[in-house]
Amino acid sequence: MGFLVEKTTWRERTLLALSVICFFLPALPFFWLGLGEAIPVYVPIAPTVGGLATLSILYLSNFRIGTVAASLEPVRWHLAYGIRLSQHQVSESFSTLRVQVDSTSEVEISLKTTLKGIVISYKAGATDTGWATMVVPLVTVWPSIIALFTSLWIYIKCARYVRNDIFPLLPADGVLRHVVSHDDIGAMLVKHAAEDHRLFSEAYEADRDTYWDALAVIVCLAFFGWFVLFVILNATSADPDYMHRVMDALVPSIAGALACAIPSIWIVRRRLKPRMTRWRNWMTRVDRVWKVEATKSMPEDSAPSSFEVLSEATKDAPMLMKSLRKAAIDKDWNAWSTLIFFIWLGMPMIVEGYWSMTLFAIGQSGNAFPVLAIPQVGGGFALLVVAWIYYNRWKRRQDAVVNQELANWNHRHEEPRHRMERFLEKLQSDV
Amino acid sequence: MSEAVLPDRPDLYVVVRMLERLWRVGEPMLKTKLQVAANVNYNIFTKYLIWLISRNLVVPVYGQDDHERVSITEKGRKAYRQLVEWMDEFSRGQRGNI
Repeated sequence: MGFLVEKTTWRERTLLALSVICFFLPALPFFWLGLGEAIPVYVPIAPTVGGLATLSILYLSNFRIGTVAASLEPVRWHLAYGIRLSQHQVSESFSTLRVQVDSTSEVEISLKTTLKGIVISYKAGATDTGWATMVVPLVTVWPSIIALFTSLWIYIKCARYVRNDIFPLLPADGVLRHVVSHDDIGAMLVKHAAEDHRLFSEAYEADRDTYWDALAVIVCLAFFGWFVLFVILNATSADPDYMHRVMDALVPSIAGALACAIPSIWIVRRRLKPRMTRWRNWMTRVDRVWKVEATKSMPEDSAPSSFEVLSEATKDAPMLMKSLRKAAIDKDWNAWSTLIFFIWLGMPMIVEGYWSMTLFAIGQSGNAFPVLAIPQVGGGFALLVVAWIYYNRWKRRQDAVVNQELANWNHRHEEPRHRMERFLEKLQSDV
Repeated sequence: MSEAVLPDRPDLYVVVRMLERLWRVGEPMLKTKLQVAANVNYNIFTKYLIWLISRNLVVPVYGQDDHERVSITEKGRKAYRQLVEWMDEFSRGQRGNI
């Protein structure tokens, strides 16, 4: 038995209808009764529940594409090569291919070994941007209807991609006749260009995330610095009028915060922008090679060879490794959530404590000094210090991993370089 | 074609540019077109061509129109494949680390 391509259109349509029903069933009370006066507790979160039901149905369902009586490796190679020829980024693991359809959609193709052969199935998915367009409207409740449309839209794009691009890769008669050899020069160049393009795109995205994270940290620190400066200036002012004290403290504290923030932003820009530009340039160059190799077209007359471009690209491997490994902390979910937890707990404690003391100072909270305000502010600062220490430790661990991998890389990659040099020397003497 | 002074150590990229273009075209190619693909001046191109011919990586071909063409040999094809394989091995290790 060979490939058995299974038509999944009716199942996809059923699923789409089901997901719309599952959105409106729980969400209807919100849109129907939401504006009424006496609303049950459930109603305010109804659209979110409906949206989650829709997402679960669309993005957890696995669709069977077909079965092939072959071993896993050739089937995976055949599919991955075909996908790369259509210039889609694909990352391979043992039994999974993850294909980026466009900037919002992703398809996960699973290959399962059974007694009958390799069962191929797919699951719709989304990129980070795609998930953001679904999850953000969902958690903000009112616009959750937007999440319904974006989730359907992304799902349809995935299903269409599988139908138009993956199905044609599978021969209908069930026999894999033309599997391109691993050592075919064209296939090697296509794979190499596609993989390099994927890595440069990921490095660009990682640096872009780091860039925006750094800007966010600077803005937060500037805000925090302004706050501390404002409190100190306010507390040390001798002016008896509270509003005068506030106005006197406001301008220098804002100026101080801006004086620190603006040069910091300039430094971050100067450090990260050139690297981002470098990855963008590589993406363009490698994309050109990928297109030439995938379409088997002729490059421009004086264009560098594919080998030359791809060899040059490997020289940037250490920097690439640094960018990918030093990706922003928000890629490390555990570290990111711990850090946010400390900040989320610490900041309100400081603000609340300071607010209590301010109310006492202007005589709005009675005569009793807010005793709890001091430990509250102290505790808030302590939590921020803990967050800072935690982040530094995380960063040190990341640096250690990068350094170790760079050392391994230098060691492991001497050999192919030497081989090429020896090859030329041998040719030189081989007359 | 007279024997020109061969480069002490040929530039890998120039060698590959010529082999890759001949492999891609898959048929004998006019020398002038190959020179454009190699992106070097005529003198250097001639030296490299002689170098490649003397190592049996490419072979001159004369067509019916008397124009001299160049074609890649099986040895040249294997040499190019070998270089691509090494480069692939090189970057596979790099991707493995990432």
